[in-house]
Amino acid sequence: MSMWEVTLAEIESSELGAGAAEEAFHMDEQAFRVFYEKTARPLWSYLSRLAGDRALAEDLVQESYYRFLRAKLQSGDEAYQKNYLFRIGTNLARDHWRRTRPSESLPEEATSHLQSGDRTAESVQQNTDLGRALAQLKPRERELLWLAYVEGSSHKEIAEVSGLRAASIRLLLFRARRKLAEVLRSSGGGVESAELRARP
Amino acid sequence: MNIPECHREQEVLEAVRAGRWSGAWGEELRKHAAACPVCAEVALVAAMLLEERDLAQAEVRLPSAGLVWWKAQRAARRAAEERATQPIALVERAAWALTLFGVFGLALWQWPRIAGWLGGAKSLASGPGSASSSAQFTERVVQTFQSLAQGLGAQSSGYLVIASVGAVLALMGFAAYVVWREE
Repeated sequence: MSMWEVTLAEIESSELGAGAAEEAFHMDEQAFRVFYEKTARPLWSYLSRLAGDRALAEDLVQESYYRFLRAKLQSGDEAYQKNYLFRIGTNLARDHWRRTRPSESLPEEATSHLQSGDRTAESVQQNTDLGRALAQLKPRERELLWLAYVEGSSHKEIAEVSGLRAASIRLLLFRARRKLAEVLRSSGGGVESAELRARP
Repeated sequence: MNIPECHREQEVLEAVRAGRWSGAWGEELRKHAAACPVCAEVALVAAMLLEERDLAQAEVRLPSAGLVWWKAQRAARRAAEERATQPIALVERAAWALTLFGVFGLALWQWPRIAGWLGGAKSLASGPGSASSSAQFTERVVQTFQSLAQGLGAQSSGYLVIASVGAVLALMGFAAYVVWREE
């Protein structure tokens, strides 16, 4: 059953027995709100770049939180909870690819959304190039790079999120980084600002 | 595989992530990266990904925490309802299966009479002199079942009745248990 099959007409009836459902969750509403404020934006960014689809990212985020709330967590540690949430999101994204995209790489239309929006022409162009560069990577490579360089996760944490062996993360991360660097260097133009930021 | 690495890799990454890379604080690291291909690559990739994150954060579309909480509650309740009604659905399916079993048993038991009715109906439907091949085939099928039923029906009709009664009692017991557990 999908949690999105909910109509506003059901709001009233949902108030009944709310306590029973809450009992199924491992945190109360207040704690959830705090956790959500801290993790929702990073999770959305991660999933939107992983999936290449904003609407899909929104769905995945909500489903991730639902599954997270229902899960029996072994620890109340915030880092552990965040990694657990990211793992759920990653698995949901993978399931989606398996169902809809037999090939690993994202199709061109998956990154076309990056050209739309209300940002300046410069940032759109930049985004398009960066998005295209990312799209040339395999989903797993995007996962690893994002977790390592954006979330600042350790190899152990990346292993927890991705389900890979910790010992293999270093090599896979190195390969993914090298591949992205080559794509960036060969694409030129749009990555100028990134290079300017990175250039000594 | 030999992975090229540098002991300042993490330091470079932290500087880029913290926004210290391009400032005066990052000068020494930038000089290092100029001579270190590993750190230069780390800085390039990290800077690109962080720009992508900034762009992503600018386009974030998220529902409120309250809405997500409410939807999760709603979904959990639905799941609980489904779990609660699962035994009832199971009893329903068992009842259907039992009914079919009973009908089949009854048909087997009373096959001679049924075959007689079928034979009567067939002779009514087919006029005189219209003995087609399909009618002959039907007759053969009826005769086959008739002989089968005579063999089986006489011996096992009693067992079938006992089995049906037993199954009904078992189903009633199971339904009573389900009701008792839910209450």
